[in-house]
Amino acid sequence: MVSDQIKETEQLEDIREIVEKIGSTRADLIPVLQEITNKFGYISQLAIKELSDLMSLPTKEILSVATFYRMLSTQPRGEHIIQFCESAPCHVVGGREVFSALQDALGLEPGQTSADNKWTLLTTSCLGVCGIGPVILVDTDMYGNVTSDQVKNILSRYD
Amino acid sequence: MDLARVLINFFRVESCGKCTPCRIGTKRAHDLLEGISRGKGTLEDLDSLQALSQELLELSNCGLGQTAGTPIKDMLAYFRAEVEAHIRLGICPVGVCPMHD
Amino acid sequence: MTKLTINGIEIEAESNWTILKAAEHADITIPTLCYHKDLSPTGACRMCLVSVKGAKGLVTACTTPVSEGMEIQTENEALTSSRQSVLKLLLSVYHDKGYKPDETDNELFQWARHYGLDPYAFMSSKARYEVDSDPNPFIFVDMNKCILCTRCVRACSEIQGRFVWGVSERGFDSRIVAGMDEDMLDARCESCGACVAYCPTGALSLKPTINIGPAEKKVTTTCNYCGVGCQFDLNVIDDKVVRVTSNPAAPANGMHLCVKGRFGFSFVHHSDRLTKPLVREYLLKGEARPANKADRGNWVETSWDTALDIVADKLVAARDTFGPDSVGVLSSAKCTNEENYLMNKFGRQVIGTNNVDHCARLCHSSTVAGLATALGSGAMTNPMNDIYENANSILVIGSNTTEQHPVFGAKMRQAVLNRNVQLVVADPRRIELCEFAVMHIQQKPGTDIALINGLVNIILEKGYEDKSFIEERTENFDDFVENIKKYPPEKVSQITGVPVSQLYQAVEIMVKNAPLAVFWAMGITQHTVGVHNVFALADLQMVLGNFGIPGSGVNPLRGQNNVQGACDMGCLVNVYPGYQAVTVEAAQQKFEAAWGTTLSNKVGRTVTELIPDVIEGKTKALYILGENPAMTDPDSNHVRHCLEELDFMVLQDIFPTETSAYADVLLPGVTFAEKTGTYTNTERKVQMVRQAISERGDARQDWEITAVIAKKVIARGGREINEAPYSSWDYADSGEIMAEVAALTPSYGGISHQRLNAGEVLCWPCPDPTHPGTPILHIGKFTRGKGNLIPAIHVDPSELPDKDYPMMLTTGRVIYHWHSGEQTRRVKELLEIYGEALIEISPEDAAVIGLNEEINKVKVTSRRGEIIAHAWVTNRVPEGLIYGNFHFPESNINYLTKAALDPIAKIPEYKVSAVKIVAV
Repeated sequence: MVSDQIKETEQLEDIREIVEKIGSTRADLIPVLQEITNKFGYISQLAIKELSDLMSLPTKEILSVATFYRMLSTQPRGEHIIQFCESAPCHVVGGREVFSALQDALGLEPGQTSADNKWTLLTTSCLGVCGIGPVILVDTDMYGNVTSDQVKNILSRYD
Repeated sequence: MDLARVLINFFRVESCGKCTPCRIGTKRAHDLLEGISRGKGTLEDLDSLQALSQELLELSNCGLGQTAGTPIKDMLAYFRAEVEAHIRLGICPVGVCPMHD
Repeated sequence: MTKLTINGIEIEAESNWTILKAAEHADITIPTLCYHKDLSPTGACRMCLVSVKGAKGLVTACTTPVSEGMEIQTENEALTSSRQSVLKLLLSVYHDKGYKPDETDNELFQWARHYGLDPYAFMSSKARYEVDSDPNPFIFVDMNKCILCTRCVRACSEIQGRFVWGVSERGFDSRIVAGMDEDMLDARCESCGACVAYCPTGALSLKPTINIGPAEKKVTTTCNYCGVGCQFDLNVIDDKVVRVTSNPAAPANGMHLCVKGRFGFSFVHHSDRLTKPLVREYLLKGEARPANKADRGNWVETSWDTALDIVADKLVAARDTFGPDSVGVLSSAKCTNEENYLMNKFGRQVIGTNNVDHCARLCHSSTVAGLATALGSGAMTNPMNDIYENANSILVIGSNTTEQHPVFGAKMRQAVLNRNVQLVVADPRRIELCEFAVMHIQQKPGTDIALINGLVNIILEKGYEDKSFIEERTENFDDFVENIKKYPPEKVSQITGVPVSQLYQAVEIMVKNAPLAVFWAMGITQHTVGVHNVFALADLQMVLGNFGIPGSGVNPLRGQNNVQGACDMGCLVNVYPGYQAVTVEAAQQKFEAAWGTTLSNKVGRTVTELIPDVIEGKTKALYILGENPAMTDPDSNHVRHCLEELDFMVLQDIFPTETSAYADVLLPGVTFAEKTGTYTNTERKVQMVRQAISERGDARQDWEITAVIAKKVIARGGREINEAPYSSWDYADSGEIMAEVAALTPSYGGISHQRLNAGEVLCWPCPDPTHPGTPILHIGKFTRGKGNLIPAIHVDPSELPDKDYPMMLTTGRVIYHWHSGEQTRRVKELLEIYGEALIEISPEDAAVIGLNEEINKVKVTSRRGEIIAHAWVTNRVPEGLIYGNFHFPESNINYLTKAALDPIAKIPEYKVSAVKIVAV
């Protein structure tokens, strides 16, 4: 209980710092939310409430933005976030097989986080590097021309 | 057929949800294509898809929804036999659709 | 003007109109779902798509502006088919569990049927969401019926200004959520129900009546809570009010209502209703009052005739033994103009006393006295809609508008949101409206005169005054300036606790954003300097020239639904109807001729005098209509003691109240739902109240009860009343009473039930039947001629904190309850949200007295009494100040308040008392 409160206080301090750094106008909301996602892994209700005060925005508006963009999350996520492009250019060059290999290796459905909190598996519409599909993005590491037998090897780099 | 399903999925995922045809239409179209790819399609589904593609084009608010019908329309125009094979024969002629749940 | 054709019909449209508006203008209906005329257009549902010649594809009529030469088709085969497609898509995600028997307002169903679709055949068989997913006691949420039109989102943001509803997620997963996906009340919902009123599909419904079928009839009437004067439709089934629905034609409020107006009607059918005349046993037995004064004995049900004979005998006995001035007549700001007029006539004509008063004494008597002296007319000068449209700045001082006049409070929020009106709030508490204000001036309680004079001092220093207005339209400027000189900013800052720089900033805001409209309520009036507070505000506006023009003026927000009317009808000790003074001979003669009797020219005693005077034996009998002094008057212990000593009290009400313990006869009157007449709202709009259901039990029309008592008293003789044009008490209906009012009251001369029923919206003064009414007062000239710049002088409150009672107490109401709570405490959903009195206390003081999660009650003591209640620790109040309300008998703040009176208006100083507080 006490440690929860300390955590909350620390989180609030960090949020205040982020807003101070980026700005508190309406236009700053997306960068602020992005920064909070980066820092805490997700945007908690506590964060929304605090941002509502700091930026004079209704909580519903912050929630709308936070749930609209795939790069933001209102749910806790794993230590590593794997994004897999499911769009046509990756799909037609073998993406589907790579994705099943990923799912098998992780035992996760899209959107799920592993029980040990290590992995979150997400699908995405495009990562902007269609020329080297299929593409996997782990955190900020991009892997192109991936084949299914490479999947395990890629994952093992994060052990 | 598989490509059309993947393309419509893109529009479904990227739909912002504001206007009726795009929000519900892309979901409906994707459900139908998903059903066909799993061997559960009917010929009426093709009529529904035809209608949906037209509605998406005519009634959507922005370019995303308006474009979303195009893959379906082209699929029905140029690959109808392949799609019908999924329904009439229960096979995917190119062997990519799972044809089961 | 833009010329275009719709369906081949040539139309001239304003250039800023949309296609939809142009079509509406030409009586062409285009189907819509997400569109509503009160809300910003969004173009989401795609129902209103129309074809425009030459355009690429179809266009939405609700968002596309007209242009010259446009050729528009709104109906053809292709459009029918596209609308059917939209409807089928929407129905495909619409699921109906079938619990709601009233789908008459379902616009989705209406359009589906219009385009030949059976909604039930096309709807989804699967629920996606939980039904009744929110615990709000008023609003039933079923997102299975949601079509994501976002009207609720826009209604909450744009009408109520509360931003509860939003859209979460995107695409097919989009859904409407409250706040950050939490319960509505946690998301700060005020339960106004606007979202329900605008929802086209029943995804949001009225929870208390969810199981009730379509209304048999709808009766448009006026709300019986505050002075805003909202109108709505009472929905009736089987002679019972089952729900309230918005009526878009309502002049003051449109579709909007507050939680009390929309949901606070079930008291009408509460089992506590008085339905039979009740008389104390001793009276029926012809015995003397029981020796124990605290208990007047058993109530016995009796016939109307028996009860009213006793009343007449007792009133006649008091009048004839102790003189007419031993009788007091307390009328009711809850009752209609017609009923109030009769109470005034009863006191003056039948009894022969000017002891006719009502609760305006306790709320705005200082406003009426102050403005009448300064301007000649004691009422709000500008209508709210005018201020919304034209003011560029607003000063709200001593009014917690969003809680006490919620629909006007919402309008202020809208003014800020839509027109960027600069709102300045001056209030010792950090009230909700501060969130919308550019500035919150947090003056100490009881320092308003110093504050306002300080602002005027700066205005004069800077040369911001409207010199030509002062020259042409006011008098007494020199004396006035002499007084203002005594309030330099530094001294004002010392008295008020407001920083000097903030005083200067406030002046800049108000001057640079003219016109300024000033609003106030009890925070200004309920002081021993209440009248001077009002002078100060009138002075401020005169100095700035903010009178007689749109978006300006002085705007006291009257509390009760008909407190304006009760004052207008002469239920005040010094005036006949229409503020004709009892001390002016011409007025006296006029009413003597009208009523056929001699009248007193001596100003009567006020409610705040009549009750304490019982002790001295000056008051012997009271006839009280719909008032509850045991709860609402200051220093309750003393009030109760006085009422115990009273010889005779007849109380006419709808419920047994705290006051009925002291009554000898209890007469069952009727609620607003059972009567026809008029209320006059705070904007001086006279509006119809229409009977929707029959009287409950043996309850009778209040005007009839008064008329029968009058006839019985007259029949007993003892006072000469001759045949005269208006001497009689024979009225066929309340419309005839209004005709008598119009004949004797110049400002109501043109007002009649016929005109109001024909749909006219009339603000008094309305002197003759062809006069259109006067929405804005003092155009070109003040009612009294020149505006009187009266020096307002700061005097400390009568009781300030000291070492024994170190805290300051201020009092008021909360949004969910009304006054002594007799109505709202009988609405179970309102009690669910706010079920007991809470004392607001600052976190600092809470820490000092040791409040925590376990110890969360406080005992508050003043020199007059003590109460115990739960504390609400909140930064709404600053350190050193606590706030309480008078809605609940067991913890009524009026046990603590002091009956210190303003010397002119005799209003008590509810707003400042010294108290001590401990945690218990």
